[in-house]
Amino acid sequence: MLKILIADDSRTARIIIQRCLEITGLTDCEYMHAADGIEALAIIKTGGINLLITDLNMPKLDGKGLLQAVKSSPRLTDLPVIVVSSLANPAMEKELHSIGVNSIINKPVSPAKLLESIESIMENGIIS
Amino acid sequence: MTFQPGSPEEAIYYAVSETFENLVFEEVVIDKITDNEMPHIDSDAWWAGIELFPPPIAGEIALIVPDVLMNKFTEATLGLGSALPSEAENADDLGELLNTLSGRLLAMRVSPDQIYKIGLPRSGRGDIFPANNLEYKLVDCLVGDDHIYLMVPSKFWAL
Repeated sequence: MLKILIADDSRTARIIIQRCLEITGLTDCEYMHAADGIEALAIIKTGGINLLITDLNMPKLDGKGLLQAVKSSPRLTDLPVIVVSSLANPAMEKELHSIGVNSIINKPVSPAKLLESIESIMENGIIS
Repeated sequence: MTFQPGSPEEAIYYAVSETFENLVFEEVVIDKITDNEMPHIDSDAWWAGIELFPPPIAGEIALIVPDVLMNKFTEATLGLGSALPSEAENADDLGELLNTLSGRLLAMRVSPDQIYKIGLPRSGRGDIFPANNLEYKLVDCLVGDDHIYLMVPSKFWAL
């Protein structure tokens, strides 16, 4: 079973993202939620997460800090990541791709945008 | 209202429409935009504010929604059916609405080669919104017959 971690300080945003994923057909998954980067990193370190979907603007440890921690760890660096944020523009996208982010979605998120991101990650064999 | 293509007003129109249609499935119409006018707020209205950091704005954007509409928005976003949302759910939903709206606004006006930041939302309830801006424009919007208000720092027009 695919384990998907959704990190966003807004519970509303986490619920919307999960609902969009379920609409795309990802119903037989285990969804985990984190309200900030510290909480997300702790869950990731326990192992077994197949996909991280994260916001950038979060308290305690922001999305960029979380991504740097994940991508600099040899054990975690292959974890596929989708960023869903209100801060995405071409300059930010360039920076995020250089960190190793697989896909970036601008809020408001939709099932179609998430499906496109996940299909592109699957086509590249990053998750199956 | 009609807007000049590429104008700040058009960016506001698109940001507001896209945000509300996607998150709460409501059509929002911009009624008028005025300088420094105080919104007519009920004592139980909801407000949220977010600091915008890209120069030259450096001010706070705010969204003010009457209680009845806020309950309706949160019910739609969270799919609550007939259950009334909690205060925490309304506050979080309004913060996420403003967060999304702010991002869309800046994405349309800030240069694509400039990284921009916004703060974390703060939200509350009451007829006195503790605005941090000395200069702002009030965007008076209609959802059906009800008004919601967006307070945009005047410096946004300098982007």
